[in-house]
Amino acid sequence: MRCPLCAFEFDEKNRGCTKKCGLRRSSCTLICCPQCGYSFVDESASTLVGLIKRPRKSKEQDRG
Amino acid sequence: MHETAIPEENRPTSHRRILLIGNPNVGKSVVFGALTGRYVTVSNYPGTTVEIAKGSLHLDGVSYELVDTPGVNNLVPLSEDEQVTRDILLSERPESVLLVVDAKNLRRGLFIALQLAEMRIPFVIVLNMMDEARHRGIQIDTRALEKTLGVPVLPTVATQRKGLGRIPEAIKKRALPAFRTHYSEPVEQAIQVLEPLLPPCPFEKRSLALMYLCEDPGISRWIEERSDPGTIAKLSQIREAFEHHIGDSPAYRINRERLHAVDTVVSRTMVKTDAPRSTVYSGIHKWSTHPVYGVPFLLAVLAALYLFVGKFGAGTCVDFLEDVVFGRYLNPWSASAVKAIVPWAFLQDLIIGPYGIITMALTYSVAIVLPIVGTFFVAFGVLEDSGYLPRLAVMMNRPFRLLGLNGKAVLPMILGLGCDTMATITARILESPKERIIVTLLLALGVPCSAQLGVILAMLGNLSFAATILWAGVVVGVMGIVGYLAARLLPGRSGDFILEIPPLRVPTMSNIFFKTIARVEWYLKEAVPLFILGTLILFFSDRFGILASLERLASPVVVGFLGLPAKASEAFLVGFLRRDYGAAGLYALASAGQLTPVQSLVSLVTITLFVPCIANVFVIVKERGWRIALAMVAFIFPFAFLVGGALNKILTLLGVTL
Repeated sequence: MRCPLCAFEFDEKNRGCTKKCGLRRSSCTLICCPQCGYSFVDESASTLVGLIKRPRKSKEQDRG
Repeated sequence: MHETAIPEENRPTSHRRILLIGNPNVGKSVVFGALTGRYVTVSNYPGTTVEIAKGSLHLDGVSYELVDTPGVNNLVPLSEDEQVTRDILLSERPESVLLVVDAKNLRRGLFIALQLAEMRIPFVIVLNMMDEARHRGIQIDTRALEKTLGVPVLPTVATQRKGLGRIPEAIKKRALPAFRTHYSEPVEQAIQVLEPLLPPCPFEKRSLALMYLCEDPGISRWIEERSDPGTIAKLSQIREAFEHHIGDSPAYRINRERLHAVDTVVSRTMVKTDAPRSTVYSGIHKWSTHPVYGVPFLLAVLAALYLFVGKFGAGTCVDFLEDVVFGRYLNPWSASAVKAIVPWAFLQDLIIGPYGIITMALTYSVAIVLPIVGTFFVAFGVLEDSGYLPRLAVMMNRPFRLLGLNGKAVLPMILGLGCDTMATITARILESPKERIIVTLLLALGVPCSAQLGVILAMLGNLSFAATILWAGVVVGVMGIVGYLAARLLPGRSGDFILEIPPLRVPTMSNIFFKTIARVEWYLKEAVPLFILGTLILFFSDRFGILASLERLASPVVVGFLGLPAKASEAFLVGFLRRDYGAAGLYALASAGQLTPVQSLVSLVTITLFVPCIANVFVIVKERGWRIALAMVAFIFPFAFLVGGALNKILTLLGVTL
């Protein structure tokens, strides 16, 4: 994934969560950039995005 | 390349330690795994919650302990992770350091390399992710880099184990760095005076002097534990004189000069062969970051935002959803359906009455706030993906220094325009507790979130341009005064501003679309339950006569001081839960013609200065603690009414009609 602020690219396991974070124990769907700390919504956790992308993916697979 | 003269023989095995250092997310753990194999111990660094992994590495029959340290961006620590890495370096001189650098972000890695060179610790640069760098048209002359720094530079792709085989041989060389950063005269002079006074340390005193000048509290403590009171006083005097002489934050000055040295090395060793940026891009970059010309640029961006969100989102889209979808279809349909299905008048009222879940909570959240939030998220996504936001941070660095902050604080402020709760968490990126408290306070006090901003823009859209300027002027002025006073009253110092600026780019529509969808969903999950809760409070308060009593109680403030109709109390009441909900209530009042332009402005200023929402209060409690959260809430609410009332009195006294 890519930070929308500083364009830093990082992977899922390095999403910048820290033990001190106030949302750590809740069902947080935010991602914090490990470089600049900017927080943004995790698209992959969105049900709506999943619903829209799923038919597109299966169409592409059918074509493939 | 210079090779060390430190004798290896007769050293106890426990002292043969190699440190793995690097920025976060550069592949350190992959390199660690490849060098140590399966036998790894993970434990917390003493006195901290930071985990350290240790493993064994065998070189020519000699066993070394390889320590995987937490990711760092600076060896003058800004975070607990960085402090642990610096402490490990300080507590025992390692045999060697493996510095893992992301080849795509060479500048960031070299910033650490230059600090290691200042320490004169033998190190090897593992230039990782070379494949990704090549794909991006980045070419690094590793030989030139080796020659410049005087240490081995190994190009690798750790995930494919490419280049890792050369690491043991490079470690054995124990090459001492040859590079020396030349600082400006005042810095060099301060180093020269400090060096003889400093206690013996495991690395070069020059580096220790620089860390001390940067006001690193850990280093200051370490030095004080090893020096007599007379020397401590002298050291402190030298540092104060240096700070006074340069008239700037010492850490900021030293980091800036170090970054300049990094840039020189990068320009000699790295070539980026992507398509040349057009003059339009470079022009936009220049204008948007300029402290003076950046202002009209920002105003143009805000004007576009106002037109898109305030006029299109809050006007066209809200009108359609509120009047057509809800007004003409959903509300009448649901009213007749509920009346047909639910026989009890009480329940009917709860669902479709004046304080009903459908007629109020869902109408406000979906018909009024959602289109505004949706259009704001689209505009915000465009700003994010274009690369403008970090440029805005650069432009705002100087003005923010007046508030005891730096340009980095712009990031949570900008993010606050999306969601203040999210932004309060982002305040963690700031170095000092003082900065974090100031930013949290300003966010809670005056930065409207997307939902509230949208509703405000919608109301302002129906008023004159002077009303918009007055609203913005009062809110920004109040934040400026509160920030300025907080910066002077709160103890502590401000941090430094280092931010990588990504290239400007044209946003892709699909990216903006999915981003907006994800954010809208997130918003609905966050806001709708609180909208329903607020409606239930209003419903039951109305049923049991509490609402009328509250309106009577609040009358001296709301009617007498703010000059608003008593009905506005309801908006302020739900505004305690979410201020966008309160703003939506004011919007409904204004749409019904129950607020004059002056009343609209006064009510908007008051609700803007409310604490954003209950969720925000909880996050402040979690991030800053109970005492600070309570103090903020106790200050903000009365202060909001005070500013609103003062504005009402001034406008009335001057006979302003707007």
